[in-house]
Amino acid sequence: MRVRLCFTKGPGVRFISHLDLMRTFERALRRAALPLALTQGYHPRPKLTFASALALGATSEAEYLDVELASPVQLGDAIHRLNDVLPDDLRVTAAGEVPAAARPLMAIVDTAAYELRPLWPLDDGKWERLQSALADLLQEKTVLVERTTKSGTRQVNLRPLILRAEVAGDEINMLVRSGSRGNVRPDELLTLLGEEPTQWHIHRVGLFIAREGRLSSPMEEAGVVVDGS
Amino acid sequence: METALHTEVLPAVSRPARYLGNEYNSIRKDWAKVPLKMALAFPDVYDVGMGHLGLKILYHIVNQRQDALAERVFAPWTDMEEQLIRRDLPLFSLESHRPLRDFHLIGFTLQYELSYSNILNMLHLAGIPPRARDRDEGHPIIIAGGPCAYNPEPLADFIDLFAIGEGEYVIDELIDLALGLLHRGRLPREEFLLEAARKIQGIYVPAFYDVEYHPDGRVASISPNREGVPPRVRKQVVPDLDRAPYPDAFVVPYIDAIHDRATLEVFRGCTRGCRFCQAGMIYRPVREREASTLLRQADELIRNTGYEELALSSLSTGDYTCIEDLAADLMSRYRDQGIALSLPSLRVDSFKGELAEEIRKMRKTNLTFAPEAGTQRLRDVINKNITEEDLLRGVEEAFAAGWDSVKLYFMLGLPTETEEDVLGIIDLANKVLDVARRHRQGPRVKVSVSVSSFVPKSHTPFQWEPQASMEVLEERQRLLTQGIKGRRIQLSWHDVRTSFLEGVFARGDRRVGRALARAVELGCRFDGWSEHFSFPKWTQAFQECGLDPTFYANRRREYEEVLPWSHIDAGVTKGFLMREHKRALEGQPTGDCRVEECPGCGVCTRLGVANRIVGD
Ligand code: SF4
Repeated sequence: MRVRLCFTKGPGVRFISHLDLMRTFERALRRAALPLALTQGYHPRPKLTFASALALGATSEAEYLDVELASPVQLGDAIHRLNDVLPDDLRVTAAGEVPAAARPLMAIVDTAAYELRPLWPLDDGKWERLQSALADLLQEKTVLVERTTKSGTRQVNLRPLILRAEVAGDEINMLVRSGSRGNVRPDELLTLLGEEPTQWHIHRVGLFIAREGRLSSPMEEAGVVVDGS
Repeated sequence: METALHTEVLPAVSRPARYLGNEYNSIRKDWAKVPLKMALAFPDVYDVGMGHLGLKILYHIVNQRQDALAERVFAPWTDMEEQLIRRDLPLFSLESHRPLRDFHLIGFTLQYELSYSNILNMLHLAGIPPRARDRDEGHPIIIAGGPCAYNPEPLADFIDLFAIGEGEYVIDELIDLALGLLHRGRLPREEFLLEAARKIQGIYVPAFYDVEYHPDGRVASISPNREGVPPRVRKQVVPDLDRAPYPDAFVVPYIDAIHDRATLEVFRGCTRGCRFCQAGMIYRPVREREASTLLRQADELIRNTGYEELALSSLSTGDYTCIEDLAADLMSRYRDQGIALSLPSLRVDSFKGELAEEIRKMRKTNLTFAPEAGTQRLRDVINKNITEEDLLRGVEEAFAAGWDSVKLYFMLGLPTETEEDVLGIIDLANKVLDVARRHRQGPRVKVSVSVSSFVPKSHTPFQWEPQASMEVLEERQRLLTQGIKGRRIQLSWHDVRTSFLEGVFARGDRRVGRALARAVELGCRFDGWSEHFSFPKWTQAFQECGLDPTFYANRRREYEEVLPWSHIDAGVTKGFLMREHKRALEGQPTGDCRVEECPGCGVCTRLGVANRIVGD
């Protein structure tokens, strides 16, 4: 049985990396005594796949993870058992069963929505300046940033990957490509706007699958969805 | 709650999850409701310290109590230290993020001499005067314990109170005493120290002892300067491990830390009597846990942590009476959950075919063997009772069972060592490789040879021996590198300068503390990390303090000499250590009292605690 979990990552764990998060979930699943399916071989491991890595320091309202179970479980019960043994600030909010043949999460999730809020109130006039800087940026056809990977640095044009970005009240909302079809990191956008990203709180509001002109949640693929809240 | 720590400091440091303090199973208590506050400090970075079993045991014991709390603190990594200094923030505990100054007791674990500089640095960062004499009523009491406390003298100026021996019971005694003396939340320093030194076994308060020196620098005498304080401080021992407290849950780190797994302490102590080994002497006698206790503990730990690995940890795990049954039991219980069993320090002669087979089924672990010396003659000197045939048989079984590589541990600079012994290491490694080739093919076949430098330690038969000089050690390392041919044998060794410094502290006296303080002023810390170790700074520190470090490391002591740790009683008698030293020089091995006759080390008779072997 493949179970898709939706979970939140709160401020108390915003400084744990993606790798740490994976390990934390593996162990929590074990503590919850769920019947984990294991890989074959000398190093049997549970089969977990996450949708998309969240930047260190960011919080999130909806992250996704698929886990393979060896035998069926009652979804509501699984949510409770997991929430009992997860660190504070990691909470499973929903669970659903997805077909075994469903494509892996990271292959289908391609869009992310963020809210960016400054840690401290901004000086007078700063929001207006940000608004116009953002407008200027969106006017451009190409917005190049450097990315360093193991195989060297390369230039990436972010502009087509930014679907929407706007100043709304005292936050910046953005909808960007994330995952299989390119990726915009919120800190990159902040840097482009002349901001120091560590002085902002980055909050992911959602991860989506763009399909036929509409955004759907990864949970929609699951048959029955049980709400844990 | 988001504080400046979260908004400013954590984004600026590497691996910020080291400092969160809210890991699963961490315990945060209400400060207003708990009278006594203790910080458990480990003088190395979180990633290293979290793997330490003693810390987990103490954390559990203190936090079990209603009237006390324990929080953790580790040496902040250099980027965090920079942040603390820049922002004028004091070093804080992990759970409540409170300044260390706010605790009544701070207990440091002493595992390694090269972490001493971190202790001073941590106190400094906490705004606590590093020197005990500069502290007053308002400051926490600084406690230290662990293996290095058996020669406490280099830290005597900085630590208020040492707990010698095993900590399980002494910690409760100290907390009870402190609670009785607490007045309006304050702990009267002098009274606490004096009562502890007088009433609690294993407590050593350096300020209550005067040390006199001969003109040539040797210690002339060490004597108490307070009434009722014991002239010799005898270690505490836990007589029955089955009744000793043991955590049913470990704090589970987010980041990947060393030994991040469920650990069972199968037994404590070792009676093999390797003459270089301090652990083998100070943790006597052997006390095994019942298999039923271990199975229960394994169950609790796995259930409460979710770990994917279970380790059996002891000085020489393979010596456990029912090791094969235990290993097989644990494996059959956890195999289906994908939990690996690791048996770290298997000895050659405890390694048997069926066990190897079972382990292989579970997971391929690294196989290590520790012949320690290259020739039989030298192995007899150090009492490592392993023959070449034993080793080759063990290795043969391993390769036949499917391993591709093994690791061999050796030491350079052992007493009486000659070039021939060094060449013996190469010879042995080649023979092991030959065996490997008979059984295994392919590019993965490998023999790793890890060579450390021997550091004579207090309370061992070699405590009187000079440590080989850095020049000699380097010369012998060269001999090894030249002698090892081909890429199938991989050689690694330790920096001789760190071993030298370790040797100075291992047998140093109180005056060495001056150089330590100076070195920390010069910026020394994380000396166990090669990227931070600065030998020139240490040399400068010793020079400025008018101390010759070779006096401590490379000098032969006479039996009559008053050693700096002679007021510390580890249980084994001086007579036994002398006998063993003489036998070493004659190349006479001594048997293991677990199976052979008692060589009369003195522990059982003097401490009233006997070897406890399950099934006996
Ligand atoms: S077997 Fe030897 S080296 Fe190992 S703990 Fe025992 S005495 Fe020490």
